[in-house]
Formats: sequence, C-alpha cells, structure tokens
Amino acid sequence: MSKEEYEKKLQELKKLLLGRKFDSNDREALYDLFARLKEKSKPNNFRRDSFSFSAFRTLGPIYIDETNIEDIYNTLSDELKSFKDADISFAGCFFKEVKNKDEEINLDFIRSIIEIKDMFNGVTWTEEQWKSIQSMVEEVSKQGTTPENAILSLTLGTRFDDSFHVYIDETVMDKILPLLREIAEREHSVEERRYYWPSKAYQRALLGFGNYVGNNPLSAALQYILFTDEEVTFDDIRRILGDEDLPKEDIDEVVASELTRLPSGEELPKEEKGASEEKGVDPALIDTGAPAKESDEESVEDLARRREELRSSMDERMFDLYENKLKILKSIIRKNYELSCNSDHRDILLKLLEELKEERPDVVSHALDITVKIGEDSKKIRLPINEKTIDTVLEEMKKLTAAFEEKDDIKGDIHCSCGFRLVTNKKSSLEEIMESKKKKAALKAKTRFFSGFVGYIFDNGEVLFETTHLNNPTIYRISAVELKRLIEAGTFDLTSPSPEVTIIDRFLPGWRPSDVTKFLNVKSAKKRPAEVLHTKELIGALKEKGVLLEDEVSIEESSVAETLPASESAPEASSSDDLREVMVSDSGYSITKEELEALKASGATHVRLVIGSVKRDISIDELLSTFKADTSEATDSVELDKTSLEYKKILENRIKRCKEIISKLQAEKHKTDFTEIRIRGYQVEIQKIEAMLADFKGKKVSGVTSLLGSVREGLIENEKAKQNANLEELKGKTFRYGLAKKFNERNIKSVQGRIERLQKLDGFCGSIQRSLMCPRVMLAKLGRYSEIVGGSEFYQDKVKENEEYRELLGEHKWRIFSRLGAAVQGAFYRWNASRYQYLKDKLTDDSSIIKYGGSRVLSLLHGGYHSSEVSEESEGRSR
Amino acid sequence: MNNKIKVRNEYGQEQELEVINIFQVDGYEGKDYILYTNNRELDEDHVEAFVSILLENEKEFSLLNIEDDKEWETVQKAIQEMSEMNE
Repeated sequence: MSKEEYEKKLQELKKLLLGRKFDSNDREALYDLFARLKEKSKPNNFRRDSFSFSAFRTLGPIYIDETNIEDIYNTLSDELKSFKDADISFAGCFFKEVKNKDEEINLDFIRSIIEIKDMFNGVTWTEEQWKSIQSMVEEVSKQGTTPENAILSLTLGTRFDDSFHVYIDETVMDKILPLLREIAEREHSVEERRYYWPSKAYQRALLGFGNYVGNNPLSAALQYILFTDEEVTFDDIRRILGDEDLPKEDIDEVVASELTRLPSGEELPKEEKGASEEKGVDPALIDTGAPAKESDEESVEDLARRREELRSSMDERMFDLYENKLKILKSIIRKNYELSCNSDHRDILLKLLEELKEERPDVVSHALDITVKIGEDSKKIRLPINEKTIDTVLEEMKKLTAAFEEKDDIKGDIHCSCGFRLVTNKKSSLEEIMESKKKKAALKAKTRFFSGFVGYIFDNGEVLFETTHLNNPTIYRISAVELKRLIEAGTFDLTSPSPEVTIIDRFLPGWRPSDVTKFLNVKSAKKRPAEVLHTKELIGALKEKGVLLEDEVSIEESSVAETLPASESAPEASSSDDLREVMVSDSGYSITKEELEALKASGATHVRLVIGSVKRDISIDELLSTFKADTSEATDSVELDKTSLEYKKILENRIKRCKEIISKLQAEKHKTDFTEIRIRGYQVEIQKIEAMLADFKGKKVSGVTSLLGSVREGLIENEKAKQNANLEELKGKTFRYGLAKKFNERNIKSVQGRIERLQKLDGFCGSIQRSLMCPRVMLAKLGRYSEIVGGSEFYQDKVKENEEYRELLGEHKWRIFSRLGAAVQGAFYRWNASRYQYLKDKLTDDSSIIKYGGSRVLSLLHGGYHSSEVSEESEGRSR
Repeated sequence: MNNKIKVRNEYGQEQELEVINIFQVDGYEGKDYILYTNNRELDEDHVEAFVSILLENEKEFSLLNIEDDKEWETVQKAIQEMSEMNE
C-alpha cells in the first residue's frame, strides 16, 4: 500500500468512526470489538496513526499503518453494521498521529524489524543457554554494519558487561535476519527468567531497540543511562540526577563512569585498554623512581593498602587509567638530568618551567616535586596530582624532559640540573578522595536512589536486592560479580551501620515484587525466606562463597562512627552479647510497653528491631520514646507494619490518624469504646467487616458509608464493638461499597490541600500515560474541573447551579434527581439555562419530579433507593 | 479554585495540567492515583484526561504510567464508579 492509499484509507476509517454515536446498551459488545481490534494493533516504532475507543473506559490506542489498516477497516466496517445508532454521545473514538508519520518507510525492513522484535521480545536465557548461543551472537554482531551507519541496534546479552551489539541498517538486514532466526530458534527459557525489565522503556532499550544516536560518547552514554531513544541534554541529566545546579564537569564524570558500563561495542582508546589489562598490586608504582627517597618510608603493605583505598574510591576503569598514567609519568621522570647549555637553551628551559601549571585541586593522591638548577638560579616546583591533573602533568613533563635530552646537541657553559620526585600524599588525601566520592554519590542519589535492602543469595551466586521507595519497592536480581563492581564503584555505602544499602535503580535490571514472589514460591511478598541477610552478613556470605575476596570489601566499625553524625552512629552495644532481637514483625509479634520496660530492667541497652525484613539496631530508650505517645492513650498494644526505615514517622502518622478517626466517631456516637489500634493486619479486619456488611445487604439494610469509610482509613473496631453494632443506627445511611476509595465530598478539602502542595514541588511526567476520553460533564462531576475549552464559564456555572440546586432539593431528593438525570442522560448532561430554570421552578416537590421523570422516579420514591427494582416496562417508559 | 500543576516531561519541557482528583483504589493500597487533563479537546463533548500513579516526596512529585493492564482496568472501573457515585 502506498502512502497515498494509506491516507485515503485512513480518511475512510475516520469517516466510519468519528461522530458515530453508540447506544449504551451496546457497551460491552463494543468493548469486545475494540479489544479484538487492539490485537491487530502494531505497537512498533513505525506506526503512523492510532485511534482509541472510549466509553468511560478507554480501549486503545490501536496503532495503524500500511500493514494493518485495511484489515482493521474491513473488520470495523463489517461489524459496526450490527450496532444501532444512538442520539447521545455515550462513547466515541479519537485519532492521534504518531510522531514518525511523515517518514518514508521501507515496509520490508519494518517487517524484518518486527519479526526480530517478536523473536526476542520476552526471551530470556539461563546462563547455560546463553553460553550455548554466545558465540553465535558474537558472529552476528560481526556481520552488522558500523555504529555510525546503523539505523537500529539490537543488544543481546545477559548483562551490560556481557552483551553484544548488532548494528543494523537496510544493507545488512538480509544477512543478519537468518542468523537471528537461528539464534531465536535455539532453546531459551521463559520460566526461569534471568532478568525482568520493569518498564516498557527499559524493555525496549535492554531488549535492544533504540535509535542509535551516533558516535558521540556523551549522548551514547546518556542514552544508555536513560534508556531513551532521544538525545539528552545536560539539563535532562541534571533533572535525572536531581540537581539543577550540577556542574557540567560533574556530569562529564558521571558520563565517563557510565561509559565503562558500555558493552563491548564501545572501544576504549588503545592506551587505556592496555592499562586495564594489567591487574594486580604493584607496590613499586608509588615508588618515586627519583633520586630522593628519604620521605617515602611507607611499607609495601601500606602502599598496597593505599592503592586499594584509592581503587575503592574510584570507578575501576578510571583507577586503571590513572594508575597507567602514573606509570607513564614514572617512566618519564626516572632519571636526573644534568647538562651544560647555552643561554638560548637556558631560556627555553626557563620558559618551560614558567609554564608549569601549579593547579591546586582539593584532593590529590600524589605530587611531583621538580628541583631545577640553572646556573646560579634554583627553583623547586610541586605539582599536585590527581586523576584530573595528571594529563596536564604528563604533557608538561614530556616537554621538559625532552628539552633536557637535547643536551648532546647543545654546547655551552651554563650548568643545569633537574631532579624529579614523585611523592605519595601521606596524610588523609585518600580518605578525602573517598569522602569526596561519597559526597558526589550522595548528590547523585538525592532523589533517584533509594534505600532499604534485602539480600538473597542464590546457588549460582546471584544476589537479590529490594529497594524501597515510598510505596513502590523494586527488586533487583544481579550477579554477585555485578554487585562486587557496584560495591567497588562506591554505589553501596557499606560503612553505614544500618542495613541500608544505596542502590542505583536505573543501572540495574530489575524484578518487580510479584516476580520475586513467584520466583520464591511464597504466597506473600511479605513472607521472606530464611536467607534474608543483613548487609554485613551478605558480604560475609559472599566472601564465604569466594565471590568476594577477604580483602576486597572490608567494613571497619571505627570508620563507621567517623563517617556518620553522632546521633546515627552505630550503637556501642551492637556487637555485644546483650543485643537482643525482640521483634519479628513478619509473624505479627507485638511488643508492649511493659515488655520493653522489662527488657530495659534486664540490663539490655539495645535491641534489634525487625521491621518487615529490615533490621535496625536502636537503643531501648529510643524505642521507648517512640512508643511513648502511642501506648499512652487509646492503645494497649502496637503492632508494626512492614514499613520502610522511616518506620517511626509512618507509625506516628498512622496512630495520629487513627486517633483522629476515633475522636470523630466518638463524637458521632457510633462507637465509644475503641481500646485498641492494630495497624498491621487491618486488611484482615476489614474483610471481617465486609463479611458483616454482606449480611446487612442480605437483609436489605442500606449501607454504612461512614463506618466503612473509617475502617478503610485504618481503624479497627474491637470484638466488643462489633458485637454491639447497632443495626438500627446504620439504617437510612447510603451504602456504597466499591473500588474507589477516598473519593467523596469529605476528601475534597484534603485533595485541594494536596494539589496546593504539588504546586510547590517540582513535577515530572513521562510521555507515556494512560488516557481516557472523558465527557466534560463527567470530569466536572469527578472533581474540580474548571477549564473547559470553549465553555468554561458555562460549565462552571452549571457546577455552581448544581450545588445550589442540591441545597434547594435536599440530599435525598437530589439523589433521586441525579438518578433521574442519569436516566435521561443527555437532558441532564446538556443542561441549559432555561432547563435549569424550569427544573428549579418546578422540581420542588415530589409530584413535579414524578411528572417530569415518569414511572422510574415514582418507583424510586416509593421503593427506596436500593431496594427498588425497576421493571423492564417502567424502564422502557422512562426513556 | 486553582487546581493547576506544572510538570516537566522527559525532554525538560514544562506543561500545565489541571488536576481533577486524587484518589485511591481498592486492591492497590498505598498508591495514590491522580486524574488530570491537559484540556485537549477530542470532540464537541469530550476532552482527553489522564490517570497516573502519583509519587511524591518532600521536594518533587512524579506522575508514573500505570504499567499493569489489570491495574489500569481496575482504575478505570473505579473512575466509572466515582462518576456514578456523584450522579
């Protein structure tokens, strides 16, 4: 199909759908039809248009292009014949253009891309399976085009550092497609997924598709970080890193470190690659190689330790690179120079010395001392060195030593000498480097990195982590090797005494909690297997398994106290025998104030609090003060929910809320003797109450909005209160029970407050969001809709009139009127001033309503709100 | 009644949205959903509205896409129910 034919067909499709009004009785059948159409949709990068169907619920978008429009048009044209037209716009369709609409596309190429996507989408490999296809994948990657020419890249692999890029354009597709088919046909596993990509964006990128952005390392790296198809600006990075003022240099550093994570497709410069090949401790490295050694008294062990400290403070590749440059520097300055030169050459040397850049970076690991004597003049220069200045120092030393090495060609009587000495910063510079790195990591972590941690180790050495962020925990499964790398890169703060581990979510592939639940074969994600480990225990276990070497990761208690504020320092008693683990909240164990007092009396000073699966050592005093307010009044006991490490705050808020609800209920005389607040497990209690309400329903008792609403806020009435529930009190109240929570007039104020808070915050909204096609009046009813294009004043007036009228009629009649409105649908929705006035004038008594609304209203009035059953006959008449 | 909020998209562009309501849905405890519109007119009677998961901390908030189809189905039903509740 040509583009022109496509456009023509699109217009026909629009003619078929736009403006068509459906009968509400056909709602389910329409849902079914459009759900089937969605299966014909083309959710790929080459779609041209989309359309959606909406009738409260929206089905779509249904993507169309040349490959499927004919089929979709024919289906719709055929099936819509059986639907009758209606007068009222109960549902509708809307179209959208997709961004690459105007691009010319090669359909064969697209089909091939789609086929590749289908072949690999969702396919995962176990380690063994991956090994069996690894060489084939490598071969395919060689068949691809160059990155510069690629239209798309496909990444196949198990991890970032174990992946192959296949760069594809139209010229290589014919060669590559059969090879990929062969790979896809090989055994793969869906059951035992190695990785689950948590979002569509991740899925697209990590399964390998994205528009390759060229050979710009910055954009390539950032694309990698962000998993986006678009080019990324520095401002984008600043936003992602959560710091608007982040200097460009710092971003460069992030990018540089990210580049090390790029798969093999990105080549390092040759010099750097060579450096990274050389491993192992080289104590002689920090030896000066220069004549003066008097100040270098550190032992080999000290030097090795410092080297490891430096390594731990840097990204591994950066460290290797830095070490290699130090080696080069050492080779350049390995000897003293002496020569006799003429005045011209002396001037050259003096000029070179003048040009030496004595930068003063805050943190250095080495310094180069240069002692020069030229005739009677002598000069001593110290050049501080760190990973940023070393390139400049290298360049300058190459020039300077070259100038001295020209001595054979120079004759003169000015005696010159030059000596070099590379010294190691003996003070706290390395610690400073580490601190500096940590600060930067914290800066980066400000908004994006989350705390909270659970570790599991699997037999194959993989590790599972959970991070908690607000109510959205994310679980990651990574290899222990990857973990090791992250630890070395300083991603995890192992010096924290709490089990918090900072993890960078966007760097890692993730599992959702439900996947973990499935994997672990437990019914609830809250139920943890026995292998739950404290961070330190995890590291210990990794060492035992030989994944981490003994000296690769060390947690020194002394350094812990130094790096934390006093209030958060590790408790002194944390390693002693009197540490008691007193709470295991997974089993719902509750601790009373008395029990805590008893513990204190026993001489224990600290307890290990287990909240969910997170452990925290705190002092008994702190624990008591936490519970003091909670246990004093309305509660006899407190159970802890599985919460994040901010458990205290959450606990306090919940209890405060519960107390407010109790006060309110007491004021309303619903219940007077609430004696217990049980925060954890209130869901179970709600179920009991729901069961009770089900009984009420059987007796045709109207519901208990206020009680149920309160229960849903977290309140649990005790057994006694349940027994005393006075059914009579509940009569006459409207019972509504359904999916929507916290949606009623009572929450209007709190929602407004919430909106006002959001207005003060920085907001972010991704481009992919679920959309609805909403009637305007419905939006007005759903909340505070005001801005209606072309009619805001009118609709605002209607909302106001609505409220006035509600007041006029009173709640009971208003509800009846509303039902009437629903029955006559458009008449209600399309109020106009005269109709409003008519209603206002006339509908002030029941007879008017009856006159207007017909038999259904009569039925409602006489039968009651819920117990009324409108007969088919009366329903028919009311229309 | 000012119910406008400003958000930036992934390309750094700022957009003004009108919040209709913030609510919770049974079965997805702990999550707040936000209903909002950019006031894009779809036809004479309809505007485009969006529903996202609202995540908020002290400094910023995010509107996240509802990834799970089942969750989206439930949220849509909840909205339908809400509109009927206010009839």
